[in-house]
Amino acid sequence: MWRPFAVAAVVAGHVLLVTLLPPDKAEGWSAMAGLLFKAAAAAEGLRAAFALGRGDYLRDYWLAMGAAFAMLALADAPAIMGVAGQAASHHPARFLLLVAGNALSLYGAARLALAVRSTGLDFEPARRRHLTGAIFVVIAAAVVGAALRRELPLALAAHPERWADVFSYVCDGLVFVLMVPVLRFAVHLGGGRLAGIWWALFGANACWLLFDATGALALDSSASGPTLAAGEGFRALACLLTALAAWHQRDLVASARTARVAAASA
Amino acid sequence: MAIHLQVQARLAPLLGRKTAEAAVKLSARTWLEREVDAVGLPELPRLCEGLRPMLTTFLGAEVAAGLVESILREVR
Repeated sequence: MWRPFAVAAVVAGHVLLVTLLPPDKAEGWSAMAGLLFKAAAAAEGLRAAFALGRGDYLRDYWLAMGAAFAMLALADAPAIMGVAGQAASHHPARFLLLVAGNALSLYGAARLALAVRSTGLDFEPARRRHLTGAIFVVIAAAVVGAALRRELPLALAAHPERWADVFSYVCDGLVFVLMVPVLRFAVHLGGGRLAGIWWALFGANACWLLFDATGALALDSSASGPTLAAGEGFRALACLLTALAAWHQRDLVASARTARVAAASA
Repeated sequence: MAIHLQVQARLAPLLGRKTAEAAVKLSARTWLEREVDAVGLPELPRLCEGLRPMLTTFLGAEVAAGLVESILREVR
């Protein structure tokens, strides 16, 4: 129960630091924290994957998420290397890591969305499902469209590294749309223990789209400082909610294992 | 208490009440070809086998096996 509060406290502390520190120090802290948050999500994702058994449906999901966050963390490494990182930040390997990391998170989201469908559980009439899907598509198209209007001209104007950003925005939009069945399932899980995992995963993936939205807002609004601070918060939440979901998943397996051993020895 | 209500009560702490109800109803219809309130104790093992794929997908094989074992042991 304390874990969501710990995540909220870390995110609030991070946003406060980014807001209060002088700009040069805030930039350094932001880069370091971004890498640490992604590394935490990668580590917890992989631990959740290895807690599950070989052949378990969600093991592949957690393997994909662990690998995706590890790649995204590695791609962030040049930002904390100072002058030495300048060359590395434009190395093609960094863009490959960004593209592969985003592709893996898209694969993971599709796998999660298909989990609900594969079990045959059907909670709502088709009309309501389609309406929710349409709302999510409109939101994703608005945010990704704004980002692409900014990034595409740059990518086309001989900045090939921007194609990795374009790909990442498209993936964030698609992942958000794939969260429709995840949200529906989380709502129907009510107060069950599994709900914590699915709410955290929905929140994490929604936060990536909100992070993209703050990037567009910061450029278009006069209040760019608060908007960028909100973006920092959403990025931290996206990573830490994934780590939280993975922790819950591992905890669930561990407690079931303990209960099974206790029942066998009783 | 009816068999299906006892099974739902054991699933609810993990899946929530609504999902537990939907899962038991789906298993009874698919595996036993009957409504949940017509499920008796002799059908319990098959009802549990029907629940196992869904539980395995969301919880993993080990958690699902533990849950099915506890249902078979405790539901009377």
